[in-house]
Amino acid sequence: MEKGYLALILHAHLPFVRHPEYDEFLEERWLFEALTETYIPLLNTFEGLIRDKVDFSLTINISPSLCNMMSDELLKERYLRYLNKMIELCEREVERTRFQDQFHKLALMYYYKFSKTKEKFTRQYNYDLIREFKDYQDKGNLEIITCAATHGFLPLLAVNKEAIRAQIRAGINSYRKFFGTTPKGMWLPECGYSEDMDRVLKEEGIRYFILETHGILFSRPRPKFGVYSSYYTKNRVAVFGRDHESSKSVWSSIEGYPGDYNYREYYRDIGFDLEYDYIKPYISPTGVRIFTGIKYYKITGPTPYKEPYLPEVARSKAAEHAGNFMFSREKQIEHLYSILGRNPIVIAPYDSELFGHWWLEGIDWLNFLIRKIRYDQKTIKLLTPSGYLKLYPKNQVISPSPSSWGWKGYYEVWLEGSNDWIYPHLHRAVEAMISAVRRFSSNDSVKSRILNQMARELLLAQSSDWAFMMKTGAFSEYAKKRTVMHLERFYLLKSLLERNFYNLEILEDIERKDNIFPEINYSIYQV
Amino acid sequence: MKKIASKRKPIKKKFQNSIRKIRIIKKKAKQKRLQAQRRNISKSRVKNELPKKEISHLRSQPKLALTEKESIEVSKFTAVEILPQPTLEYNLPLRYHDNRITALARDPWWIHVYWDISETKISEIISKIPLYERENLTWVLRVYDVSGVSDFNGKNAHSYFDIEIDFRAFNWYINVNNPQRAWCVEIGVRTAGGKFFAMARSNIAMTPYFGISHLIDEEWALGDEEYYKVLGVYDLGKSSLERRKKLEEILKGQISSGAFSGGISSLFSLREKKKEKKFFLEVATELILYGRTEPTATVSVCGKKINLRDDGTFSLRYALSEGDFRFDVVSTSQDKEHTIKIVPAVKRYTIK
Repeated sequence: MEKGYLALILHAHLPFVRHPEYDEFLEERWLFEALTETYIPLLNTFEGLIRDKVDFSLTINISPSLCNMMSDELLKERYLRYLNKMIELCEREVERTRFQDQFHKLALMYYYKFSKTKEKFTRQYNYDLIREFKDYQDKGNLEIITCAATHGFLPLLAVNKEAIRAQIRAGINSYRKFFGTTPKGMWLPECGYSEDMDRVLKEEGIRYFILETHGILFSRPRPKFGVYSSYYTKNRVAVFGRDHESSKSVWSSIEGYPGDYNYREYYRDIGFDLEYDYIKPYISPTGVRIFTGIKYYKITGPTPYKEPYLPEVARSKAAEHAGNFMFSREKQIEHLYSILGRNPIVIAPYDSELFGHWWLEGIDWLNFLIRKIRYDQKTIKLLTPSGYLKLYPKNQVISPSPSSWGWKGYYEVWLEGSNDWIYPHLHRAVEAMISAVRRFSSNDSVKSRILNQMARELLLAQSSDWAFMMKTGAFSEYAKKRTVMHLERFYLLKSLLERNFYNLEILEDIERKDNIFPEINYSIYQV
Repeated sequence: MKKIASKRKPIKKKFQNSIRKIRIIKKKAKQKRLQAQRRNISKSRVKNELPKKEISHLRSQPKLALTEKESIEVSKFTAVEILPQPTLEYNLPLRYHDNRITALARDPWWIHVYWDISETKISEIISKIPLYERENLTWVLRVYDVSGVSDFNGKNAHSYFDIEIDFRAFNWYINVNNPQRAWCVEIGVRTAGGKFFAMARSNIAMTPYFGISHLIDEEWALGDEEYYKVLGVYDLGKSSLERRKKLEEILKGQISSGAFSGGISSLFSLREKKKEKKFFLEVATELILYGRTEPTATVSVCGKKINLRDDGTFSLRYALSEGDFRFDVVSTSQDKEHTIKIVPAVKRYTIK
């Protein structure tokens, strides 16, 4: 009999980036890279596990904005174009490296990877990844949860209760559309929690959510089981806390696995290394060098000098690390089991893009880990949070601490000198939305369309990704532009209503560009 | 951001005038101090409120010192490496003139407020101040601790303190230094005699909790010894006060070092990447092998068939490491009657 559980929780999210107004838009590559390196490899892993009859149980949040991109026709078409271009580059690489044995093998590896991805995407999945994920949910191996609609950082939107309600409700509605059922759990964007948020979650039918470690540890009263059990909030929503120890071994590059010298080096990329004229067709249309995703070196050590990557060695490292992770969890769970008087659960959430995209071998690691847990030990079992709640329906009631999993543990990442200017605009726009709904809601189809589009623009402006990018400095101009652009479109639409001037051309243009949440209904802002 | 800052300027100026008109700021010395403050603000409004030690910490931090988790999150977005990007024209309402102040908690010790008070409102409030008291008015934020106060009316707070501000900063970070409390902030002017005239009152912001709770639910109690084992902390000391203090330190350390949020202490990624950029030189060589033959011919290089262009030309590009290389190029006519073989060879070496 097992002594405790491990809940592996993947958080898959990208902000909604789709620019039909440009023929090619660099930031759309975020999706294409994540598809190739993370989401499709995850599906491959699941496929292999099912094929080998390995029972497994994982939880994944596929954020509503990511679902909307995965199902978008234009982006699918562009993804195919991207794959074709990468395959062409790989063909040239295979040729170019012909007299350099070590690199030649790697070029072939990439060629194989991209060709295989294309084949899977077009033939096996028929361009529909969401259905693939849904299949694993239907089989009972995957619990797909949802997220706030556009990954808005809820604690800083919470001055307007309606703002967080709309984010949550639109996220749930989107989930229903894609997965045909009501989500059991919600991934709070950045694990951001503020007081009373559980009330809204309860009202919207969410049964559990996940917090950062101290969100639970600092709760009132003292949580008996630390982060190793479920709890209920005052409004009877279940809540779990992230385990610090298991997180660190994967997240941290020095203490953690991804920094191993045998693993692939993320920063050495042929987009920067190769001769300019040769690589030019495959980098930014403006001729700026970018990451192509083709990387030939291993981390090697803390030096600029890098040695060629050896996939077989890296793979066996991943197996070793999976074994180490499992062993540590066994010890951890035995220790907790002896104290707690109930089977503990270890909550291990990760950004899914950590696996494959950032840590190439992370996908192998996950695969090995799942198989080892199934066959090599008896202390722990994989379980979803809702599975744990079935085992332990009676739980202590606590008030979780407001918190997040960002730097310093609270809200500072999204509220500091670089991004605090957005909140006066975002908060007032919510009020403008509510009053527009009050004033203009009607059965008139054009008016409704305008209000619906205003809701889309408002939600898009609220993505926490923009504040995050402003803070880190990476893509901060793009992030500012997106924040402002959506608010501008929002106010432009509002002015159409106010002036009683229903310009269809303007409306259709905006609808075409920001086509997220086709099912949206402005009533999410009805008070 | 630059653009936005510059767009804000005219308003600031306009405000400056209206403020001058109502003669809030009169003393030259004070004006100077404010100007100095303003310079700080335009650089970074956050720094203004931080103690000196923290400021120097902020400055020494490189722009891209990201946490582990952030690096990974950023890596989702690194199709392009951080490039200089053009500044864009924005067109948002610059001011709302809605006489409002809003408070947001940032962490257990700090809250953030932003405000927008119209000139009309300012005049209206100023007009209520007796004429003889209108000189030497100071803009202040009055920060009330309203924890557990359900109907705050301006008078029933537990306590309050004032912060002198530059009105034109339009936002401020306030060190309340007290977790799990409710805060309400008023913006207004204070007379030299200490009378406060509020222009607007904020919503109530709660600072998040910090520390393990002393409240224990009898039904769900666990002995202290056991509890520390669950938390994975040992050697906390003998007395319970000692332990509590030590535990608090550990927790605070874990959160601010980010050990809780994804192993932030080891910022290898982007920051170390920057460090690598010492002076360096890398040289690589590639060889271009090209030629032409009958378009219908079959051509191989070192036994591997290659593709011809429609006009029978071909070009191939090979990366060369050190060593001797020969390229056996063979063309065979369609009817297999003619075969030509040419073998160029190169030696690639580095002169020491």
